[in-house]
Amino acid sequence: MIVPTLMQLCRSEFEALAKTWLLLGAIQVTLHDDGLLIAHYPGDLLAAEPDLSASDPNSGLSMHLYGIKGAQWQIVADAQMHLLGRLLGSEGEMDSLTGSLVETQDRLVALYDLTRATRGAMEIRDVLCLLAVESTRLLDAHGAFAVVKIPDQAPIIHQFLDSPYPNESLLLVADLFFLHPEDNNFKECSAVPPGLGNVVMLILSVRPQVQACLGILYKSREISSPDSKLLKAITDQGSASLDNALFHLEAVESARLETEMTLARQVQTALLPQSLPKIKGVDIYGISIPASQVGGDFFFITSNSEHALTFYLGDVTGKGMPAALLMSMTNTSARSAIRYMPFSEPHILIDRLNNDLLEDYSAVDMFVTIFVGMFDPDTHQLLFANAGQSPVIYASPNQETILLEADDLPVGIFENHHYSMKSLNLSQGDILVITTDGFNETSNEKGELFGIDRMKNIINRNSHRSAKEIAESLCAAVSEYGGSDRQEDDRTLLIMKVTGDEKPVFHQTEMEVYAEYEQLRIPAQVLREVCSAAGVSEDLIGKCELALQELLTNLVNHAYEGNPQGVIRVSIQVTADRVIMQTEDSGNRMESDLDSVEMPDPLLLQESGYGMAIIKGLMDEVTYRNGEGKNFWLLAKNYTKE
Amino acid sequence: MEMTAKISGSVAIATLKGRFDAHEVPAVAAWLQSSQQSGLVHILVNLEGVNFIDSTALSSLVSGLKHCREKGGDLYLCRLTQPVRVIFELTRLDNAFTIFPVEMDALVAFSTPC
Repeated sequence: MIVPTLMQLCRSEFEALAKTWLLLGAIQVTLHDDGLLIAHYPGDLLAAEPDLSASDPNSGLSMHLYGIKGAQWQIVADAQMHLLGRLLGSEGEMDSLTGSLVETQDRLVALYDLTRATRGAMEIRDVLCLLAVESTRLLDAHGAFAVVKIPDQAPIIHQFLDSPYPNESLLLVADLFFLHPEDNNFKECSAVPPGLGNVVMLILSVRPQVQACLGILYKSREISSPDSKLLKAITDQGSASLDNALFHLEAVESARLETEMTLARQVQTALLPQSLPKIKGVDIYGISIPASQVGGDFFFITSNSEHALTFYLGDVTGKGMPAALLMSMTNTSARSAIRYMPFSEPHILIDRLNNDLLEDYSAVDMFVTIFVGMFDPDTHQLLFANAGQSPVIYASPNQETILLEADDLPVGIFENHHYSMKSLNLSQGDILVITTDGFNETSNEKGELFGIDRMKNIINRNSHRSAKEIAESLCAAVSEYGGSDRQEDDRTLLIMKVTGDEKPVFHQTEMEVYAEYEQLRIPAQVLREVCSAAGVSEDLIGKCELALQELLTNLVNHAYEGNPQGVIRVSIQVTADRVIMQTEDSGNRMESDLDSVEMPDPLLLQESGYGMAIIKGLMDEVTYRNGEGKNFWLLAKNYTKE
Repeated sequence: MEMTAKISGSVAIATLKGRFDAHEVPAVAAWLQSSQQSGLVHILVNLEGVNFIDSTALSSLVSGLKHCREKGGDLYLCRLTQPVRVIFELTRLDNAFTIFPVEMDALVAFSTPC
C-alpha cells in the first residue's frame, strides 16, 4: 500500500509511463494499489478486461494495459512496476526519516525551553513544577510528579497529573524508590496505589543529604531509545536546576544568619563594659576578643557603695550563638545580683548565679566557669571565689609568679552547691591576671600550646607597665603564636594591678630611634603629645623637650660618635605630678662626672659644652647608670597640673 | 625649618621659622659663612618664628658672632620667643649677645656708629 501523499509524487511519473504505452498502441493504462484503482490515463475510463497486467508485490502496486499484447511487453511492464515500486518505497523511507528529524528537532527545542525556564527559577517549587509539566509534554506522558526531601524540613512534593493523588502516596512511592533506586518496578508492590504502578522513576542527583526524584506516568509500556535519551537530558537538567535552587536557599539562609550574628554581636558589645572605673590605688583593665562574631566569654568591673571594686570574668562552654545566648543571660544575672545584693561576698554571688541558672544550663548540657573578686583598696584585701575559671595568675614582686588553683565546680552543674571564698592580702606592685583558656590553649602550627609558663613570663617581663600594656603584650604574643589563622577560641582577660601609693600612670610610651639628628624629632613629638594629654603646661613641656633634645644630641655625638646605625631607646612616662624621660643606648660610656658639670662662662663664647649643664639646670632629677654594655639615663621633672 | 635671607643696606638678615635644632645647623652655618665671605660683617638673625632652639643651634650662632666681631662687625638677634629665651637665660648667653625686640631696632643700631 502506498501512502496517499505519495500518489502526488508518482502521478507525473505514471503519466509519462502511460504516454509511452499509448505510443506503443495501448488505448488505456490504469494503476492500482492493492487492487484499488488509483490512477488511469487518458481521460475517460473504459470498462473492459485488461490485455496485460503487471505488479510489484513489495509495494502492492499493479498496472493494467488495454489494447496491447505480447510477451515482450509483459517483461517491460513488470520491470516498470518493479522500478515504480522501488521509487515509491524510497520516497516513503525519506518521508518517515524527515518526520523523525522534525520530531527530534521539536523535542530539542522543547528541552531548550525547559533549560531556559528552569534557569530562571530560584525557588524549589518553581523548579519542580517546571520539571513535571515540561517532562510530561516532552514525553507525551499522562503526567509527572516530583519529590524533594531536605533534612530537618518537610518533604516538598509537586504533582502534575490528570487525577490528583494524595501527597502521601506520592511520597510513599518516592521513599520506596530511594530505598532501591535500581529497581524501578512498583507494580508488584501492594502498598503502591493503583495507577502509580506504571510510573517511571528517575533520580535527580543534587547535593548530598538531599533526596530528589521525578516520577513520570508513561503512556506506553516501553521506553523508546530517543525517549530514554530525552529522559536522561531531562534528569540532568532537572538535577542542575534543583541543585541551583537548593544552593540559593542555602545562600539566603546563610545571609540571614550573618545578619543575625552581626546584630547579636552589636548587642554583646553593648553588654560588655564600655568604660573601666577608675579606682584609687588600682590599675584595672579588661578586654574580650571573641573568635567568631559572638562568643561565650564575658567580664565585668564595677564599683558600688559597699565594695570599692567588684569584678568577674567568665567563660561559657562552647562557642558561637548558643554560648553567646547563655553568656548574655549569665552576665545579666551576675550584674543584677551585684546591684541588688551589695553586701554580698564573691561566693554568695556565685551560689546565687548557680541557683538562678542551673535549669537553663542543664537543659542544654552546658556550664560556665567564673571568677569573682572584690578588692578593698584601703585594706588591700582581695576576696574571691573561683568556680572553675583558669588560668588565674598572681604575680607579686620578689615572689614566684603562681597559678591560683580553680578548685571549685563550674556553675550550672550541681544544684545547691555551695561555693567557697578565699582571701589574699595584696601589696603594691601585685598583679592579678585572669584569662579564659583561649590564651594558654592557643596552638601554633606544630600543635604546641601557648601554655601558662609563657603567660607568666610575659607578665613578669612587663610587670612594671600598666595593666593595659600588660594586656596588650599578652594579646599580641598569643596572636603571633597562633599565627595568621583564624582565632580558634574566644580570648578574654582581666588584669588588676595594685599601684598603692604609686600615682596612676597617665601614659607610658617607648620608642626606638636611630642616632641621627632628624630622628630625634620623633621622641620630641611624642613627649609633647603625651604631656599635653596629661595636662602639663606648655612652659614645662618646652623645658622637658629641651632637656631631652640635649641628652639625645649628646648620645648621638658622644655615645655613638655620629654613627647613624646606633639605636637609642626612649621611654616617656607621665604621672600625675612627674614627667620621666629615660634612654637606653649601647654606645660609649660617659666619662665625665655629672656632678662636676657646670655651665660655661658665656663671655667665653664657647661653642660646645652647654648640653649637660642645660639638662641639669632644667631637670629635677638626672641619673646615669651603666651596665651590661648599656647606658641608662633618667631625666625627671616634677610639675603641678594647671 | 624655613630660612629667609635678605640684605638691608650692609646688613645680612636671616629670618628663621620653625625648629632650630642640630639638624638645621649646617644650613644656617653655611649662610653665615657665605655672608661673611661676601664681605658682610653685620648680621641680624630674626628668631621670630623659632619655637625651639637647642645648644647646637646656639653654638652655631655663637660661632657666627665670634667671626663677625673678628671682622669688625657684629651679630645681633631679634624677636626672641619665650621658649628661646629659656635657653638663653639658662646659658646666660643673653649677656653675650645683643638682643633687640624688633628688627628695626637692630638695623638702627647697626647704622649708628658706636
